[in-house]
Amino acid sequence: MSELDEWDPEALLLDYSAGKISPAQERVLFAAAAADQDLFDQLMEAEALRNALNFPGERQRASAVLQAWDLRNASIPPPIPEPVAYARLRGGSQRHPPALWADLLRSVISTVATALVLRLCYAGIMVMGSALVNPPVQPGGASDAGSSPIPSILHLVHAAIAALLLGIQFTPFFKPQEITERDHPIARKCLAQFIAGWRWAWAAWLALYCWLWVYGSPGGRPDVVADILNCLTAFPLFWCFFVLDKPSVSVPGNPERNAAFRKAIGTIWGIGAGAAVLAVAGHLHLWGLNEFGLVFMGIYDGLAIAFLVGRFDSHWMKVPRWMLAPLYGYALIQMIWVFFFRLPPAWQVYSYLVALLFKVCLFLVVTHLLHAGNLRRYLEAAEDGKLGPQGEAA
Amino acid sequence: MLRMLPVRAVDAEDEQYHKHLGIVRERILNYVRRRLAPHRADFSQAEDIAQSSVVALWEQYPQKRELAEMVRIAIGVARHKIAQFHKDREKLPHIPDAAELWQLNPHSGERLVEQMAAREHTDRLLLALLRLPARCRELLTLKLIEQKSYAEIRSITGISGNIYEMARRCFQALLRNAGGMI
Repeated sequence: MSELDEWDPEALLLDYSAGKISPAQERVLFAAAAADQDLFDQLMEAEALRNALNFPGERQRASAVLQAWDLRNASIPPPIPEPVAYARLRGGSQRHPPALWADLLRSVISTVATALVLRLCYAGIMVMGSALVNPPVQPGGASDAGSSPIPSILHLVHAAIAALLLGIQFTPFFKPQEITERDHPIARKCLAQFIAGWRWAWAAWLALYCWLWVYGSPGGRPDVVADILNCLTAFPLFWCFFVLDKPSVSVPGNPERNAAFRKAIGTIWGIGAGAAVLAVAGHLHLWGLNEFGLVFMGIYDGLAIAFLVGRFDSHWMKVPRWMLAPLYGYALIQMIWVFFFRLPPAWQVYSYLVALLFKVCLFLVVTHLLHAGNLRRYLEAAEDGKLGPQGEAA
Repeated sequence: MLRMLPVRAVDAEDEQYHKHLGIVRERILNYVRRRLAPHRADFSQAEDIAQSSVVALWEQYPQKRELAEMVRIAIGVARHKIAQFHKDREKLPHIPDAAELWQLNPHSGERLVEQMAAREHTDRLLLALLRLPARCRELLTLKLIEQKSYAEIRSITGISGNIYEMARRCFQALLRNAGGMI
Protein backbone atom coordinates (compact mmCIF):
# COMPACT_ATOMS: atom_id res chain seq x y z
CA MET A 1 0.00 0.00 0.00
CA SER A 2 1.56 3.33 -0.96
CA GLU A 3 1.45 6.47 1.15
CA LEU A 4 -0.96 8.01 -1.31
CA ASP A 5 -3.72 5.76 -0.08
CA GLU A 6 -3.88 7.68 3.17
CA TRP A 7 -5.23 10.48 1.01
CA ASP A 8 -7.83 8.30 -0.57
CA PRO A 9 -11.22 9.94 0.12
CA GLU A 10 -12.63 6.66 1.43
CA ALA A 11 -9.83 6.46 4.00
CA LEU A 12 -10.18 10.13 4.82
CA LEU A 13 -13.88 9.59 5.56
CA LEU A 14 -12.98 7.70 8.73
CA ASP A 15 -10.46 10.33 9.77
CA TYR A 16 -13.19 12.91 9.30
CA SER A 17 -15.71 10.87 11.33
CA ALA A 18 -13.12 10.47 14.07
CA GLY A 19 -12.66 14.25 14.15
CA LYS A 20 -8.98 13.95 13.33
CA ILE A 21 -8.37 15.39 9.91
CA SER A 22 -6.24 18.24 8.65
CA PRO A 23 -7.79 21.16 6.72
CA ALA A 24 -5.98 20.04 3.56
CA GLN A 25 -7.33 16.50 3.88
CA GLU A 26 -10.79 17.88 4.58
CA ARG A 27 -10.69 19.88 1.35
CA VAL A 28 -9.72 16.74 -0.59
CA LEU A 29 -12.56 14.79 1.02
CA PHE A 30 -15.28 17.38 0.34
CA ALA A 31 -14.09 18.03 -3.21
CA ALA A 32 -14.28 14.27 -3.84
CA ALA A 33 -17.76 14.16 -2.30
CA ALA A 34 -18.89 16.85 -4.74
CA ALA A 35 -18.05 14.49 -7.58
CA ASP A 36 -19.13 11.19 -6.01
CA GLN A 37 -22.73 10.69 -4.85
CA ASP A 38 -21.95 7.58 -2.76
CA LEU A 39 -19.20 9.36 -0.89
CA PHE A 40 -21.46 12.36 -0.36
CA ASP A 41 -24.17 10.08 1.09
CA GLN A 42 -21.70 8.48 3.49
CA LEU A 43 -20.41 11.88 4.46
CA MET A 44 -23.94 12.96 5.35
CA GLU A 45 -24.24 9.95 7.66
CA ALA A 46 -20.73 10.38 9.07
CA GLU A 47 -21.45 14.00 9.95
CA ALA A 48 -23.94 12.93 12.63
CA LEU A 49 -21.42 10.48 14.00
CA ARG A 50 -18.70 13.10 14.12
CA ASN A 51 -20.93 15.64 15.85
CA ALA A 52 -21.99 13.10 18.46
CA LEU A 53 -18.47 11.96 19.29
CA ASN A 54 -17.16 15.52 19.43
CA PHE A 55 -19.76 16.44 22.03
CA PRO A 56 -18.07 16.78 25.44
CA GLY A 57 -18.12 13.50 27.33
CA GLU A 58 -19.63 11.36 24.57
CA ARG A 59 -16.34 9.89 23.33
CA GLN A 60 -15.39 8.97 26.91
CA ARG A 61 -18.81 7.45 27.50
CA ALA A 62 -18.57 5.38 24.32
CA SER A 63 -15.10 4.21 25.27
CA ALA A 64 -16.27 3.21 28.76
CA VAL A 65 -19.23 1.25 27.36
CA LEU A 66 -17.02 -0.64 24.92
CA GLN A 67 -14.45 -1.43 27.60
CA ALA A 68 -17.17 -2.69 29.93
CA TRP A 69 -18.52 -4.84 27.12
CA ASP A 70 -15.09 -6.34 26.43
CA LEU A 71 -14.52 -6.97 30.14
CA ARG A 72 -17.86 -8.68 30.53
CA ASN A 73 -17.19 -10.91 27.54
CA ALA A 74 -13.66 -11.66 28.79
CA SER A 75 -15.05 -12.88 32.12
CA ILE A 76 -17.15 -15.47 30.30
CA PRO A 77 -14.94 -18.39 29.28
CA PRO A 78 -14.90 -18.86 25.52
CA PRO A 79 -16.82 -21.87 24.31
CA ILE A 80 -14.73 -24.87 23.41
CA PRO A 81 -14.80 -24.94 19.63
CA GLU A 82 -16.39 -27.99 18.15
CA PRO A 83 -14.23 -29.95 15.77
CA VAL A 84 -14.65 -28.56 12.29
CA ALA A 85 -15.43 -31.03 9.57
CA TYR A 86 -12.92 -29.68 7.09
CA ALA A 87 -10.91 -32.23 5.16
CA ARG A 88 -7.33 -32.33 6.34
CA LEU A 89 -4.73 -32.53 3.64
CA ARG A 90 -1.70 -33.73 5.54
CA GLY A 91 0.14 -33.98 8.83
CA GLY A 92 -1.02 -34.21 12.40
CA SER A 93 -1.71 -37.90 12.19
CA GLN A 94 -2.18 -39.22 15.70
CA ARG A 95 -3.95 -42.35 14.56
CA HIS A 96 -3.24 -45.51 16.46
CA PRO A 97 -4.02 -49.03 15.26
CA PRO A 98 -7.05 -49.41 17.59
CA ALA A 99 -8.73 -46.43 15.90
CA LEU A 100 -8.53 -48.19 12.55
CA TRP A 101 -10.26 -51.25 14.00
CA ALA A 102 -12.88 -49.04 15.58
CA ASP A 103 -13.55 -47.40 12.19
CA LEU A 104 -13.90 -50.78 10.51
CA LEU A 105 -16.17 -52.05 13.24
CA ARG A 106 -18.29 -48.92 12.95
CA SER A 107 -18.66 -49.55 9.24
CA VAL A 108 -19.75 -53.15 9.78
CA ILE A 109 -22.24 -52.14 12.45
CA SER A 110 -23.64 -49.48 10.12
CA THR A 111 -24.13 -52.07 7.37
CA VAL A 112 -25.94 -54.51 9.63
CA ALA A 113 -28.04 -51.79 11.30
CA THR A 114 -29.03 -50.29 7.93
CA ALA A 115 -30.07 -53.66 6.54
CA LEU A 116 -32.14 -54.46 9.62
CA VAL A 117 -33.80 -51.06 9.92
CA LEU A 118 -34.69 -50.88 6.23
CA ARG A 119 -36.10 -54.42 6.38
CA LEU A 120 -38.24 -53.43 9.33
CA CYS A 121 -39.39 -50.27 7.56
CA TYR A 122 -40.29 -52.29 4.48
CA ALA A 123 -42.23 -54.73 6.61
CA GLY A 124 -44.08 -51.87 8.32
CA ILE A 125 -44.97 -50.20 5.05
CA MET A 126 -46.03 -53.55 3.59
CA VAL A 127 -48.35 -54.18 6.51
CA MET A 128 -49.93 -50.76 6.24
CA GLY A 129 -49.87 -50.57 2.45
CA SER A 130 -51.11 -54.06 1.56
CA ALA A 131 -54.25 -53.42 3.58
CA LEU A 132 -54.92 -50.38 1.43
CA VAL A 133 -54.11 -51.74 -2.04
CA ASN A 134 -57.26 -52.20 -4.13
CA PRO A 135 -57.89 -55.84 -5.02
CA PRO A 136 -56.58 -56.82 -8.45
CA VAL A 137 -58.97 -57.26 -11.34
CA GLN A 138 -60.30 -60.76 -11.63
CA PRO A 139 -60.06 -62.32 -15.10
CA GLY A 140 -63.45 -62.22 -16.70
CA GLY A 141 -64.78 -60.00 -13.97
CA ALA A 142 -66.14 -56.49 -14.20
CA SER A 143 -63.81 -53.96 -15.70
CA ASP A 144 -61.75 -52.12 -13.09
CA ALA A 145 -60.02 -49.78 -15.45
CA GLY A 146 -61.61 -46.78 -13.83
CA SER A 147 -60.29 -47.34 -10.34
CA SER A 148 -57.02 -46.05 -8.92
CA PRO A 149 -54.74 -48.37 -6.97
CA ILE A 150 -54.48 -45.68 -4.29
CA PRO A 151 -57.72 -45.73 -2.31
CA SER A 152 -59.38 -42.38 -1.86
CA ILE A 153 -59.17 -42.77 1.92
CA LEU A 154 -55.39 -42.40 1.61
CA HIS A 155 -55.82 -39.10 -0.24
CA LEU A 156 -58.21 -38.04 2.51
CA VAL A 157 -55.69 -38.98 5.21
CA HIS A 158 -53.00 -37.05 3.34
CA ALA A 159 -55.30 -34.01 3.05
CA ALA A 160 -56.29 -34.24 6.71
CA ILE A 161 -52.66 -34.32 7.84
CA ALA A 162 -51.84 -31.36 5.57
CA ALA A 163 -54.81 -29.46 7.02
CA LEU A 164 -53.72 -30.29 10.57
CA LEU A 165 -50.13 -29.20 9.98
CA LEU A 166 -51.27 -26.03 8.23
CA GLY A 167 -53.73 -25.27 11.03
CA ILE A 168 -51.06 -25.72 13.71
CA GLN A 169 -49.12 -22.86 12.14
CA PHE A 170 -51.92 -20.47 13.06
CA THR A 171 -52.08 -21.57 16.70
CA PRO A 172 -49.83 -20.65 19.66
CA PHE A 173 -48.29 -24.15 19.53
CA PHE A 174 -44.73 -24.22 18.19
CA LYS A 175 -44.87 -20.49 17.62
CA PRO A 176 -41.86 -19.14 15.69
CA GLN A 177 -39.35 -17.11 17.70
CA GLU A 178 -39.73 -13.45 16.88
CA ILE A 179 -37.03 -11.04 15.78
CA THR A 180 -37.05 -7.56 17.27
CA GLU A 181 -37.68 -4.67 14.90
CA ARG A 182 -35.15 -2.47 16.63
CA ASP A 183 -32.14 -4.81 16.43
CA HIS A 184 -32.74 -6.68 13.19
CA PRO A 185 -35.41 -5.03 11.05
CA ILE A 186 -34.28 -6.80 7.87
CA ALA A 187 -34.15 -10.24 9.46
CA ARG A 188 -37.62 -9.67 10.90
CA LYS A 189 -39.08 -9.02 7.45
CA CYS A 190 -37.19 -11.99 6.00
CA LEU A 191 -38.70 -14.24 8.64
CA ALA A 192 -42.19 -12.98 7.80
CA GLN A 193 -41.54 -13.66 4.11
CA PHE A 194 -40.32 -17.17 4.87
CA ILE A 195 -43.34 -17.99 7.03
CA ALA A 196 -45.70 -16.67 4.35
CA GLY A 197 -44.08 -18.89 1.72
CA TRP A 198 -44.11 -21.89 4.03
CA ARG A 199 -47.82 -21.52 4.77
CA TRP A 200 -48.55 -21.06 1.11
CA ALA A 201 -46.79 -24.37 0.36
CA TRP A 202 -48.98 -26.20 2.88
CA ALA A 203 -52.13 -24.55 1.62
CA ALA A 204 -51.22 -25.71 -1.91
CA TRP A 205 -50.55 -29.25 -0.66
CA LEU A 206 -53.89 -29.24 1.09
CA ALA A 207 -55.62 -28.15 -2.12
CA LEU A 208 -53.77 -30.82 -4.12
CA TYR A 209 -54.73 -33.71 -1.85
CA CYS A 210 -58.30 -32.49 -1.47
CA TRP A 211 -58.51 -32.43 -5.25
CA LEU A 212 -57.09 -35.95 -5.53
CA TRP A 213 -59.50 -37.15 -2.89
CA VAL A 214 -62.56 -35.66 -4.54
CA TYR A 215 -61.65 -35.98 -8.22
CA GLY A 216 -58.95 -38.68 -8.30
CA SER A 217 -58.62 -39.52 -11.97
CA PRO A 218 -59.17 -43.00 -13.32
CA GLY A 219 -56.16 -45.24 -13.46
CA GLY A 220 -54.33 -43.23 -10.86
CA ARG A 221 -52.92 -40.83 -13.46
CA PRO A 222 -52.46 -37.25 -12.36
CA ASP A 223 -54.90 -35.02 -14.16
CA VAL A 224 -54.39 -31.51 -15.48
CA VAL A 225 -55.61 -29.76 -12.32
CA ALA A 226 -53.40 -31.97 -10.16
CA ASP A 227 -50.44 -31.08 -12.39
CA ILE A 228 -51.03 -27.37 -11.87
CA LEU A 229 -51.62 -27.73 -8.12
CA ASN A 230 -48.48 -29.80 -7.82
CA CYS A 231 -46.58 -27.03 -9.53
CA LEU A 232 -48.09 -24.48 -7.14
CA THR A 233 -46.66 -26.40 -4.19
CA ALA A 234 -43.14 -26.08 -5.57
CA PHE A 235 -43.11 -22.33 -6.18
CA PRO A 236 -43.49 -21.28 -2.50
CA LEU A 237 -40.64 -23.63 -1.61
CA PHE A 238 -38.47 -21.82 -4.16
CA TRP A 239 -39.71 -18.58 -2.56
CA CYS A 240 -38.53 -19.76 0.87
CA PHE A 241 -35.18 -20.74 -0.63
CA PHE A 242 -34.65 -17.34 -2.23
CA VAL A 243 -35.63 -15.54 1.01
CA LEU A 244 -32.74 -17.38 2.67
CA ASP A 245 -30.41 -17.02 -0.28
CA LYS A 246 -30.74 -13.44 -1.50
CA PRO A 247 -31.35 -9.98 -0.01
CA SER A 248 -35.14 -10.03 -0.16
CA VAL A 249 -35.93 -6.84 1.78
CA SER A 250 -35.36 -3.27 0.64
CA VAL A 251 -33.97 -0.88 3.22
CA PRO A 252 -34.03 2.88 3.73
CA GLY A 253 -31.40 4.33 1.48
CA ASN A 254 -31.33 1.29 -0.79
CA PRO A 255 -34.79 0.54 -2.17
CA GLU A 256 -33.21 -1.66 -4.86
CA ARG A 257 -31.56 -3.99 -2.36
CA ASN A 258 -34.03 -6.76 -3.17
CA ALA A 259 -33.68 -6.42 -6.95
CA ALA A 260 -31.90 -9.79 -7.32
CA PHE A 261 -34.61 -11.48 -5.24
CA ARG A 262 -37.39 -10.03 -7.37
CA LYS A 263 -35.62 -11.11 -10.56
CA ALA A 264 -35.10 -14.64 -9.23
CA ILE A 265 -38.73 -14.95 -8.14
CA GLY A 266 -40.01 -13.70 -11.49
CA THR A 267 -37.76 -16.11 -13.35
CA ILE A 268 -38.59 -19.14 -11.24
CA TRP A 269 -42.30 -18.40 -11.52
CA GLY A 270 -41.90 -18.28 -15.30
CA ILE A 271 -39.99 -21.56 -15.33
CA GLY A 272 -42.68 -23.18 -13.18
CA ALA A 273 -45.43 -21.95 -15.46
CA GLY A 274 -43.49 -23.26 -18.48
CA ALA A 275 -43.02 -26.66 -16.83
CA ALA A 276 -46.74 -26.76 -15.99
CA VAL A 277 -47.69 -25.91 -19.59
CA LEU A 278 -45.47 -28.74 -20.87
CA ALA A 279 -46.93 -31.12 -18.28
CA VAL A 280 -50.48 -30.26 -19.28
CA ALA A 281 -49.61 -30.53 -22.99
CA GLY A 282 -47.99 -33.91 -22.37
CA HIS A 283 -50.98 -35.07 -20.40
CA LEU A 284 -53.34 -34.05 -23.22
CA HIS A 285 -50.94 -35.33 -25.90
CA LEU A 286 -50.62 -31.93 -27.53
CA TRP A 287 -47.69 -30.63 -29.61
CA GLY A 288 -46.49 -34.18 -30.20
CA LEU A 289 -45.82 -34.63 -26.48
CA ASN A 290 -46.76 -37.58 -24.32
CA GLU A 291 -46.60 -38.19 -20.57
CA PHE A 292 -42.87 -37.62 -20.72
CA GLY A 293 -43.70 -33.91 -20.62
CA LEU A 294 -44.55 -34.46 -16.96
CA VAL A 295 -40.92 -35.14 -16.17
CA PHE A 296 -40.08 -31.44 -16.31
CA MET A 297 -42.59 -30.68 -13.62
CA GLY A 298 -41.22 -33.50 -11.50
CA ILE A 299 -37.76 -32.00 -11.81
CA TYR A 300 -39.13 -28.57 -10.92
CA ASP A 301 -40.86 -29.94 -7.81
CA GLY A 302 -37.86 -31.97 -6.74
CA LEU A 303 -35.42 -29.12 -7.21
CA ALA A 304 -37.60 -26.81 -5.12
CA ILE A 305 -37.26 -29.11 -2.13
CA ALA A 306 -33.60 -29.90 -2.84
CA PHE A 307 -32.67 -26.21 -2.98
CA LEU A 308 -34.51 -25.44 0.25
CA VAL A 309 -33.10 -28.45 2.07
CA GLY A 310 -29.66 -27.44 0.80
CA ARG A 311 -30.02 -24.21 2.76
CA PHE A 312 -30.85 -26.20 5.89
CA ASP A 313 -27.43 -27.77 5.45
CA SER A 314 -25.89 -24.57 6.88
CA HIS A 315 -24.19 -25.09 10.24
CA TRP A 316 -26.00 -21.97 11.48
CA MET A 317 -29.25 -23.93 11.18
CA LYS A 318 -27.92 -26.80 13.26
CA VAL A 319 -30.20 -29.36 11.65
CA PRO A 320 -28.96 -32.84 12.59
CA ARG A 321 -27.18 -34.22 9.53
CA TRP A 322 -29.12 -37.47 9.57
CA MET A 323 -32.35 -35.49 9.42
CA LEU A 324 -31.36 -34.17 6.02
CA ALA A 325 -31.51 -37.66 4.50
CA PRO A 326 -35.32 -38.00 4.47
CA LEU A 327 -35.62 -34.44 3.20
CA TYR A 328 -33.37 -35.09 0.22
CA GLY A 329 -35.24 -38.39 -0.18
CA TYR A 330 -38.46 -36.42 -0.41
CA ALA A 331 -36.92 -34.33 -3.19
CA LEU A 332 -36.14 -37.53 -5.09
CA ILE A 333 -39.67 -38.87 -4.61
CA GLN A 334 -41.06 -35.59 -5.97
CA MET A 335 -39.12 -36.18 -9.16
CA ILE A 336 -40.68 -39.58 -9.79
CA TRP A 337 -44.16 -38.71 -8.51
CA VAL A 338 -45.37 -37.92 -12.01
CA PHE A 339 -44.59 -41.49 -13.07
CA PHE A 340 -46.40 -43.16 -10.22
CA PHE A 341 -49.09 -44.45 -12.52
CA ARG A 342 -46.43 -46.57 -14.27
CA LEU A 343 -45.54 -48.38 -11.05
CA PRO A 344 -47.21 -51.61 -9.88
CA PRO A 345 -50.28 -50.80 -7.72
CA ALA A 346 -48.69 -51.96 -4.46
CA TRP A 347 -45.58 -49.88 -5.10
CA GLN A 348 -47.71 -46.82 -5.70
CA VAL A 349 -49.29 -47.19 -2.27
CA TYR A 350 -45.94 -47.81 -0.56
CA SER A 351 -44.33 -44.79 -2.23
CA TYR A 352 -47.33 -42.67 -1.33
CA LEU A 353 -46.96 -43.62 2.33
CA VAL A 354 -43.23 -42.90 2.30
CA ALA A 355 -43.88 -39.52 0.71
CA LEU A 356 -46.35 -38.72 3.47
CA LEU A 357 -43.77 -39.68 6.06
CA PHE A 358 -41.09 -37.50 4.46
CA LYS A 359 -43.51 -34.58 4.19
CA VAL A 360 -44.14 -34.78 7.93
CA CYS A 361 -40.36 -34.89 8.46
CA LEU A 362 -40.02 -31.69 6.43
CA PHE A 363 -42.71 -30.05 8.54
CA LEU A 364 -41.01 -31.12 11.77
CA VAL A 365 -37.63 -29.80 10.68
CA VAL A 366 -38.94 -26.41 9.57
CA THR A 367 -41.15 -26.08 12.65
CA HIS A 368 -38.15 -26.88 14.83
CA LEU A 369 -36.03 -24.26 13.02
CA LEU A 370 -38.73 -21.65 13.57
CA HIS A 371 -39.67 -22.59 17.11
CA ALA A 372 -36.17 -23.23 18.51
CA GLY A 373 -34.86 -20.01 16.97
CA ASN A 374 -32.27 -21.58 14.64
CA LEU A 375 -33.76 -19.77 11.66
CA ARG A 376 -33.88 -16.55 13.68
CA ARG A 377 -30.18 -16.85 14.46
CA TYR A 378 -29.39 -17.60 10.83
CA LEU A 379 -31.28 -14.54 9.57
CA GLU A 380 -29.79 -12.29 12.24
CA ALA A 381 -26.30 -13.51 11.37
CA ALA A 382 -27.04 -12.84 7.70
CA GLU A 383 -28.12 -9.28 8.51
CA ASP A 384 -24.99 -8.78 10.63
CA GLY A 385 -22.83 -9.87 7.71
CA LYS A 386 -21.48 -12.92 9.52
CA LEU A 387 -22.33 -15.37 6.76
CA GLY A 388 -19.86 -13.91 4.27
CA PRO A 389 -16.73 -15.79 3.23
CA GLN A 390 -14.46 -13.71 5.49
CA GLY A 391 -16.77 -13.25 8.45
CA GLU A 392 -16.18 -9.53 8.41
CA ALA A 393 -18.21 -6.63 7.11
CA ALA A 394 -20.17 -8.23 4.30
CA MET B 1 -42.96 29.56 -0.81
CA LEU B 2 -39.35 28.84 -1.66
CA ARG B 3 -37.08 31.58 -2.77
CA MET B 4 -35.39 31.22 -6.12
CA LEU B 5 -31.75 31.79 -6.88
CA PRO B 6 -30.86 34.66 -9.26
CA VAL B 7 -30.97 33.28 -12.75
CA ARG B 8 -28.38 35.44 -14.48
CA ALA B 9 -24.68 35.12 -13.73
CA VAL B 10 -22.78 38.40 -13.82
CA ASP B 11 -19.28 37.22 -14.72
CA ALA B 12 -17.14 34.11 -15.02
CA GLU B 13 -16.67 33.87 -11.26
CA ASP B 14 -20.42 34.09 -10.72
CA GLU B 15 -20.96 31.52 -13.40
CA GLN B 16 -18.57 29.16 -11.62
CA TYR B 17 -20.33 29.84 -8.31
CA HIS B 18 -23.72 28.99 -9.77
CA LYS B 19 -22.28 25.84 -11.26
CA HIS B 20 -21.07 24.86 -7.79
CA LEU B 21 -24.49 25.62 -6.32
CA GLY B 22 -26.02 23.34 -8.96
CA ILE B 23 -23.63 20.50 -8.06
CA VAL B 24 -24.35 20.86 -4.35
CA ARG B 25 -28.07 20.93 -5.02
CA GLU B 26 -27.89 17.76 -7.11
CA ARG B 27 -25.95 15.90 -4.42
CA ILE B 28 -28.39 16.91 -1.69
CA LEU B 29 -31.40 16.14 -3.86
CA ASN B 30 -30.16 12.63 -4.71
CA TYR B 31 -29.34 11.91 -1.09
CA VAL B 32 -32.68 13.18 0.22
CA ARG B 33 -34.63 11.27 -2.42
CA ARG B 34 -32.91 8.07 -1.35
CA ARG B 35 -33.52 8.79 2.32
CA LEU B 36 -37.15 9.79 1.94
CA ALA B 37 -38.15 7.01 -0.46
CA PRO B 38 -39.00 4.54 2.35
CA HIS B 39 -41.05 7.22 4.12
CA ARG B 40 -43.37 7.50 1.10
CA ALA B 41 -42.61 11.17 0.82
CA ASP B 42 -43.08 12.57 -2.65
CA PHE B 43 -40.13 13.92 -4.57
CA SER B 44 -41.36 17.50 -4.32
CA GLN B 45 -40.49 17.38 -0.62
CA ALA B 46 -36.97 16.29 -1.50
CA GLU B 47 -36.85 19.19 -3.95
CA ASP B 48 -37.94 21.55 -1.18
CA ILE B 49 -35.21 20.36 1.16
CA ALA B 50 -32.50 20.55 -1.49
CA GLN B 51 -33.65 23.96 -2.72
CA SER B 52 -33.97 25.50 0.72
CA SER B 53 -30.52 24.17 1.66
CA VAL B 54 -28.94 25.80 -1.38
CA VAL B 55 -30.83 29.03 -0.81
CA ALA B 56 -29.53 29.10 2.77
CA LEU B 57 -26.02 28.54 1.45
CA TRP B 58 -26.44 31.38 -1.03
CA GLU B 59 -28.01 33.81 1.45
CA GLN B 60 -26.02 33.13 4.59
CA TYR B 61 -22.61 32.13 3.23
CA PRO B 62 -22.18 34.15 0.03
CA GLN B 63 -18.44 34.52 0.62
CA LYS B 64 -17.93 30.73 0.55
CA ARG B 65 -17.31 29.97 -3.12
CA GLU B 66 -14.85 27.09 -3.14
CA LEU B 67 -16.67 23.86 -4.00
CA ALA B 68 -15.21 21.81 -1.12
CA GLU B 69 -16.11 24.51 1.38
CA MET B 70 -19.62 24.80 -0.04
CA VAL B 71 -20.12 21.04 0.28
CA ARG B 72 -18.96 21.13 3.91
CA ILE B 73 -21.47 23.83 4.84
CA ALA B 74 -24.26 22.36 2.73
CA ILE B 75 -24.02 19.03 4.53
CA GLY B 76 -24.65 20.70 7.87
CA VAL B 77 -27.54 22.76 6.50
CA ALA B 78 -29.15 19.80 4.73
CA ARG B 79 -28.93 17.65 7.86
CA HIS B 80 -30.77 20.34 9.78
CA LYS B 81 -33.45 20.57 7.09
CA ILE B 82 -33.94 16.79 6.99
CA ALA B 83 -34.22 16.62 10.78
CA GLN B 84 -36.79 19.43 10.64
CA PHE B 85 -38.72 17.57 7.95
CA HIS B 86 -38.91 14.41 10.07
CA LYS B 87 -39.94 16.41 13.11
CA ASP B 88 -42.73 18.17 11.20
CA ARG B 89 -43.86 14.93 9.60
CA GLU B 90 -44.02 12.89 12.77
CA LYS B 91 -45.88 15.69 14.60
CA LEU B 92 -44.46 14.91 18.01
CA PRO B 93 -46.13 17.51 20.23
CA HIS B 94 -44.58 16.39 23.50
CA ILE B 95 -40.96 16.70 22.44
CA PRO B 96 -39.86 20.17 23.49
CA ASP B 97 -37.77 22.28 21.18
CA ALA B 98 -34.78 24.40 22.09
CA ALA B 99 -36.82 27.52 22.79
CA GLU B 100 -39.06 25.72 25.28
CA LEU B 101 -36.12 24.28 27.13
CA TRP B 102 -34.40 27.63 27.10
CA GLN B 103 -37.43 29.09 28.84
CA LEU B 104 -37.21 26.40 31.49
CA ASN B 105 -33.49 26.85 31.95
CA PRO B 106 -32.03 29.78 30.07
CA HIS B 107 -28.47 28.71 30.76
CA SER B 108 -28.50 25.20 29.39
CA GLY B 109 -31.65 24.70 27.35
CA GLU B 110 -30.20 24.79 23.85
CA ARG B 111 -27.18 22.77 24.89
CA LEU B 112 -29.48 20.16 26.41
CA VAL B 113 -31.17 19.51 23.05
CA GLU B 114 -27.79 19.09 21.38
CA GLN B 115 -26.69 16.78 24.17
CA MET B 116 -29.81 14.64 23.76
CA ALA B 117 -29.17 14.31 20.04
CA ALA B 118 -25.49 13.50 20.60
CA ARG B 119 -26.36 10.92 23.20
CA GLU B 120 -28.87 9.26 20.90
CA HIS B 121 -26.39 9.16 18.04
CA THR B 122 -23.67 7.75 20.28
CA ASP B 123 -26.03 5.04 21.50
CA ARG B 124 -26.86 4.10 17.92
CA LEU B 125 -23.17 4.06 17.09
CA LEU B 126 -22.48 1.75 20.04
CA LEU B 127 -25.26 -0.64 19.12
CA ALA B 128 -24.06 -0.71 15.52
CA LEU B 129 -20.48 -1.29 16.68
CA LEU B 130 -21.42 -4.15 18.97
CA ARG B 131 -23.16 -5.91 16.12
CA LEU B 132 -20.01 -5.92 14.00
CA PRO B 133 -17.57 -8.83 13.84
CA ALA B 134 -14.86 -8.51 16.52
CA ARG B 135 -12.10 -7.56 14.08
CA CYS B 136 -14.12 -4.72 12.57
CA ARG B 137 -15.23 -3.52 15.99
CA GLU B 138 -11.65 -3.36 17.21
CA LEU B 139 -10.53 -1.43 14.13
CA LEU B 140 -13.35 1.11 14.28
CA THR B 141 -13.07 1.55 18.03
CA LEU B 142 -9.41 2.43 17.64
CA LYS B 143 -10.14 4.75 14.74
CA LEU B 144 -13.33 6.52 15.77
CA ILE B 145 -13.28 6.44 19.56
CA GLU B 146 -9.58 6.45 20.35
CA GLN B 147 -8.66 8.52 17.28
CA LYS B 148 -5.63 6.44 16.35
CA SER B 149 -3.89 6.82 13.00
CA TYR B 150 -3.87 3.97 10.50
CA ALA B 151 -0.19 3.30 11.27
CA GLU B 152 -0.93 3.04 15.00
CA ILE B 153 -3.86 0.72 14.36
CA ARG B 154 -1.69 -1.46 12.18
CA SER B 155 0.89 -1.83 14.94
CA ILE B 156 -1.71 -2.47 17.66
CA THR B 157 -3.83 -5.00 15.78
CA GLY B 158 -1.16 -6.53 13.57
CA ILE B 159 -3.38 -6.16 10.49
CA SER B 160 -1.09 -6.92 7.60
CA GLY B 161 -3.37 -6.52 4.59
CA ASN B 162 -4.91 -3.44 3.07
CA ILE B 163 -6.02 -1.66 6.22
CA TYR B 164 -7.70 1.16 4.27
CA GLU B 165 -9.88 -1.24 2.33
CA MET B 166 -10.76 -3.15 5.49
CA ALA B 167 -11.58 0.09 7.31
CA ARG B 168 -13.76 1.20 4.43
CA ARG B 169 -15.74 -2.05 4.43
CA CYS B 170 -16.11 -2.02 8.20
CA PHE B 171 -17.29 1.58 8.20
CA GLN B 172 -19.88 0.87 5.51
CA ALA B 173 -21.12 -2.07 7.58
CA LEU B 174 -21.30 0.19 10.60
CA LEU B 175 -23.43 2.73 8.75
CA ARG B 176 -25.67 -0.08 7.49
CA ASN B 177 -26.06 -1.42 11.02
CA ALA B 178 -26.90 2.05 12.27
CA GLY B 179 -29.68 2.20 9.65
CA GLY B 180 -28.99 5.84 8.81
CA MET B 181 -27.61 8.20 11.38
CA ILE B 182 -29.73 11.21 10.56
